[in-house]
Amino acid sequence: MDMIDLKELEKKAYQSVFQDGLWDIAWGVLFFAGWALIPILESLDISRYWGYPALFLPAVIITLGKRFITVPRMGVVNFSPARQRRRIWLIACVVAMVLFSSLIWTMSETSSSIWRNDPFLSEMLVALPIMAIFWVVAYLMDFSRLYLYAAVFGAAMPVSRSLGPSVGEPLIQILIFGIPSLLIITFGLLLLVRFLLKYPAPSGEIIHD
Amino acid sequence: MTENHQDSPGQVPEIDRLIHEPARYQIMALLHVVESADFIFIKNQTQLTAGNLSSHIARLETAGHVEVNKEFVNRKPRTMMRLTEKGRRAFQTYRQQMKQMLGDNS
Repeated sequence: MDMIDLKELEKKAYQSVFQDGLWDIAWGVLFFAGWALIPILESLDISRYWGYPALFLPAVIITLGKRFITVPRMGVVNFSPARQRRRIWLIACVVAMVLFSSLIWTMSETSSSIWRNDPFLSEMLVALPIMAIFWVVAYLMDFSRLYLYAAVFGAAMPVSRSLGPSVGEPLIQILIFGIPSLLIITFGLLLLVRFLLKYPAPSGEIIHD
Repeated sequence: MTENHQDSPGQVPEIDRLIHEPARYQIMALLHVVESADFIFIKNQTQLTAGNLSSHIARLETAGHVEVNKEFVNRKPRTMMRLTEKGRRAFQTYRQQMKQMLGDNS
């Protein structure tokens, strides 16, 4: 009998929770809400503040989706303390990302000269740390697709700032951020459909006696 | 030729036949790498049928390797399973014995 690689088994069990596509949908919505929605609203003469609540949508998607869709089909598992410790680091990273993004936003709004003189460089200074934090999040979550999503958005930020004057805003943000976001959300939805077909909802608790 | 001081030539080490059964080995391996899991999760990961899984878990529970807790969450019943300390030790011993046996034969 082949000896099971326990490390691989644990990783496979952990990564099975990403089959539902909910995290892909959540990240896609976050990127869309964070980078594409505000320009769209402003182009329609709608205040940007109406867009901010959308930033909480990913949390709602994950919380409700896991509770009502995934857990009834996949079951419940409590991973090892080592995995649970990673979650603490994950939360710390998310907090760091929010703080950093707020700081950068505040600096850009208070017209520091670097933002005016070299838009590409200024966006790189913002994009690289945000991308790095996303990669750390991807590592802690063991969610390999997030490396790609983070790279796409990391690259999009300086590109959109450079092309903005020639293409025009908000069109450039809609194209550079909106299209990838919608592709990620679509991919997440496809995963979700596949998940629902593979794991039908149980008709009731399968009682072990 | 190295001398195996534990077993004389031709002697097969006694392995735990309860764990040796492939389905039960799979169940114990899964419970070894997580803190606890419910019936549905184990069923999905092992691809066993509900009846088959139920039967194997019953045997493991009788042997004291698995602890089964039935609880209610949001008024719905949930059956959570975890390895007992005895079960963990038995599983680790089984793996060591198998590695030794397979290593000796390679």
